[in-house]
Amino acid sequence: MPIKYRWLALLAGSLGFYWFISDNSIIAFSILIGMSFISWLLCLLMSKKEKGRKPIFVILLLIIALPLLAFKEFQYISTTFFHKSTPLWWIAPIGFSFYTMQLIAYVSDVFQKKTEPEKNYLKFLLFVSFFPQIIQGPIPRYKQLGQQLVEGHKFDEKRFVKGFMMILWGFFLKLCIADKAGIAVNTIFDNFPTYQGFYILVGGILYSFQLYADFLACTSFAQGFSGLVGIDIIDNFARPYFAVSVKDFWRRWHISLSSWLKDYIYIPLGGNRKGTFRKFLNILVTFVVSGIWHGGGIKFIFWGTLHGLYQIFGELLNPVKKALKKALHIKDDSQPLRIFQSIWTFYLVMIAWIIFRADNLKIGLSMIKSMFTVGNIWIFTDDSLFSLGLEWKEVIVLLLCLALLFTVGILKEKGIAIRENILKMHIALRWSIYIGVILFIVIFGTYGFGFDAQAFIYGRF
Amino acid sequence: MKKRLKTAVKFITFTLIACMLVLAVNEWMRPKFYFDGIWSPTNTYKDFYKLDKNSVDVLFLGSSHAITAFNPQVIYDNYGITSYNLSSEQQSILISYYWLEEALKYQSPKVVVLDAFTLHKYTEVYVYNDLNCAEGAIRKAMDNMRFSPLKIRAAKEISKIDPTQDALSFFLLNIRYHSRWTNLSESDYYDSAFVNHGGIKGYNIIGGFDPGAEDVTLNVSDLSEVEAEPMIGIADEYLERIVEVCKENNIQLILTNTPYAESLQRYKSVAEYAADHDIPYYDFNEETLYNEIGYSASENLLYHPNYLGAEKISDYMGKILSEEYAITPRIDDSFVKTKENYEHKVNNLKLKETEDIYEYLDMLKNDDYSIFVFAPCDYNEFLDDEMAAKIQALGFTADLRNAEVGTHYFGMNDKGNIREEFTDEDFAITGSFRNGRGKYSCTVDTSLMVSAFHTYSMQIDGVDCGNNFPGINIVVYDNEEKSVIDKVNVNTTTEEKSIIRY
Repeated sequence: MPIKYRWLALLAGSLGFYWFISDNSIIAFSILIGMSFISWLLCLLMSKKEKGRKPIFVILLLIIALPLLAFKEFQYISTTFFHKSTPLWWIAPIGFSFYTMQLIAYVSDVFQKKTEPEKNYLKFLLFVSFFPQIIQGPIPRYKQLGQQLVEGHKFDEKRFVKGFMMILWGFFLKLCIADKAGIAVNTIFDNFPTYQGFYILVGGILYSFQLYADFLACTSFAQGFSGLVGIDIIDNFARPYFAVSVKDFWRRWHISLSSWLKDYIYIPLGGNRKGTFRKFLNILVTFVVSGIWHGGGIKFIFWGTLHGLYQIFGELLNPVKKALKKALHIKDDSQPLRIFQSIWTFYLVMIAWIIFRADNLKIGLSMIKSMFTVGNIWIFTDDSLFSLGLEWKEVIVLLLCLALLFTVGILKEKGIAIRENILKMHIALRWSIYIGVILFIVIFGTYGFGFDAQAFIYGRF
Repeated sequence: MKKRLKTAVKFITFTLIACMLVLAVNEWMRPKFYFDGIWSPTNTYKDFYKLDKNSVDVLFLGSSHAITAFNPQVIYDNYGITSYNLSSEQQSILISYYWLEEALKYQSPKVVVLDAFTLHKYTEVYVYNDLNCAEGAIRKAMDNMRFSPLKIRAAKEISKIDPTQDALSFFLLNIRYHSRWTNLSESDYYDSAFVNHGGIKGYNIIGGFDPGAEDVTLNVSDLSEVEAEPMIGIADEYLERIVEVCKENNIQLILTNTPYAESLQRYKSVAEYAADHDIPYYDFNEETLYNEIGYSASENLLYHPNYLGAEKISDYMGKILSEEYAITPRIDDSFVKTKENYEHKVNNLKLKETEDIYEYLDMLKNDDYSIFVFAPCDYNEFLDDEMAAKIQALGFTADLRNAEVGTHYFGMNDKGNIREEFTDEDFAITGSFRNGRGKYSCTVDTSLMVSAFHTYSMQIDGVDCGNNFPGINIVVYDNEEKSVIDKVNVNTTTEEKSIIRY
């Protein structure tokens, strides 16, 4: 196919993929086409006007955002306050949260004249439906991705192999870490209060890694498959569990969402330009929006608020932390201090993840309470941990895989480009690595018969 | 262009290597059931592929009843007829059909004997699925079938009838057996040695008696009083296919049922089908036939005949095959090896059934056995000269008659490699046998830091063989089956010197 028209193949593939993953749902497909078309059309209209742009922008924002809000919250409100379940068809189409954010960003950028509107609807539809990222992001900006998708790319072996490596990495993360950890996580979280005390701590830690590996896997797949066709997709994570504060965590976790929230919520609200109180309020509002985006109900709002409060208290305690460091003669760049801060940040984030994963807020709070009130420390020495669905050999594999994830994280923190280094190796060694990884996943991965395959966690949001 | 070609070659080479290695891992993960277990489908099907082409005149197909009832070795020894038993546990009629089709690629049998038990529900109380058998039973038969368009067809049909079974997993076994890496054993690593050993032409041997069992037979004269029990759904289609295949290949199909307390209703439905299709039907539950072969529920067991019962049934089948279906004898050297296997299995069964210690010790003089003797404390009050001599005849030098109370004894004879320990102090010894592949340990720890049961402990190849009974413990390790086959305690502190199996 001529390079010029290759984007048409990508479009056909993306629409076909969406049709397939949404179980041939005409409704889901129509919503995607309809919302993208309205956004495209009104943005074109808006760009041609100098006056009266704002009403179009507001109407467009409402058209895009209200369905998301309705899908997210209506079910919770209906069941909680009216004790009525929503109809079966009331399910957000797959990837809805992600492409809604994408459309809002596009509309806002066009309104603010940061980006030129796309004139060809089909090209715009490709941007919205691009298959590697529609399920779980990252949430792209038109400026970064739009042109790449349509410009056409020659086959580049190096990029292809790098994409292939990312796909392998994605499989490793998903099958050897996320889904393996998920077995124990489900046992603990689905059977509370059978499992209490230190089990909750173990469950919380494992869930933190499960969620990270799962989400990172999806991003890796997106980057990998895009890489095969010569397209670069932004990184969505930057070793979030190495963060030294919650603020730092949000710079590293789900970067495309965090930057979206910053650009389209926090800064428009005034950011840090209107005094400390407004800054804290803006932080809270931003994280509440983040909570609402993640799901319906009070649980996610609480989770978002908790992260907002973490940041506010983090800043309020800055003078205390400074005084303590001075009193204890600890330098700002001290390695032990960084390790302590990372562990403490991980702990805070993990506590919030427990709320995030629990069936509801009440259960989540009870689980956290039991962590501090039930002293069953013997579970670490009497093999109880091996009764969570993972026998000891599986636990060792999981720990080894986590150790590898940690090592890769350290190398990347040091700026070492692992894939580039592998590409420089002798072909025999390179192939041994690829095949070794494939065999490792085939043998030690968690998948197949007798195992209820886990859907990508973030695909639900 | 040259660069593109180079890239394409690299891509294809890499894909081929990766696929080959994934398939090798798949083979590694496939569960194996060899001659050393009660059921040995891996040997049954792998041995079948090793037969000389067109060397089999009779094929048996059916359930576990058929596996334990039709012994090709007996038929060959008595009538010179070459046969093979392709039955498997809970063999669905679908599996019988596909294995018949598979077998016909390699053999041209003159007679196919089909166990009709598979045509009705396996149990009265539980329906597995529309295939009429557990998922594991399908896998045991199908996993050992060679890759071919026939296998693809079979996998698709299995998946269609039982959607919980994934057709692809019959080819990419890791989908089904992804957790097997946690319990890979010797047979997984030394697969070829186990395959080369071979089984008994698909026959699986069972021992034991049931003194309380009563004979249950049916009388054809009562048939008019009952309604025929309908066959299971898939029998309609696949039995019909089997009949067609046999017709097309000029094969005589025979239906049978082995003694299993069959109901008249079931008998009637098979008999009617057989009569309608002009198929001979031999039902060993039928009173006349049951008595004609001298079958006894207490001596030969119902459902799964012991080897003595199998000899009676097989001998009868050999007779009718020879007399009524004119199957002529032939010479087949492969039966020499299977005869050895059969006799070895029979010896093991006899050993495990022996209650007389003197006879037992005589039977231990077998080069295939490694013997472990453990006498931890009090054992020689009634240890007589004959017994002591028989123990010494096994290669041990210690004279246990002279030991004082409180002296512990451990002895091991691994094909002439002898180790003996005689001490009145606590000890913990370990060692290896079977050329370093097996491991044993033996401990006497009276410190009470361990549970009372483990005061005297013995582990052989991972099997706990210790106990606290007074007297002498003997553990027999069969190097053919690579497992502990018998653990007995002889109470030599009483005059009876009774044997307790533990």
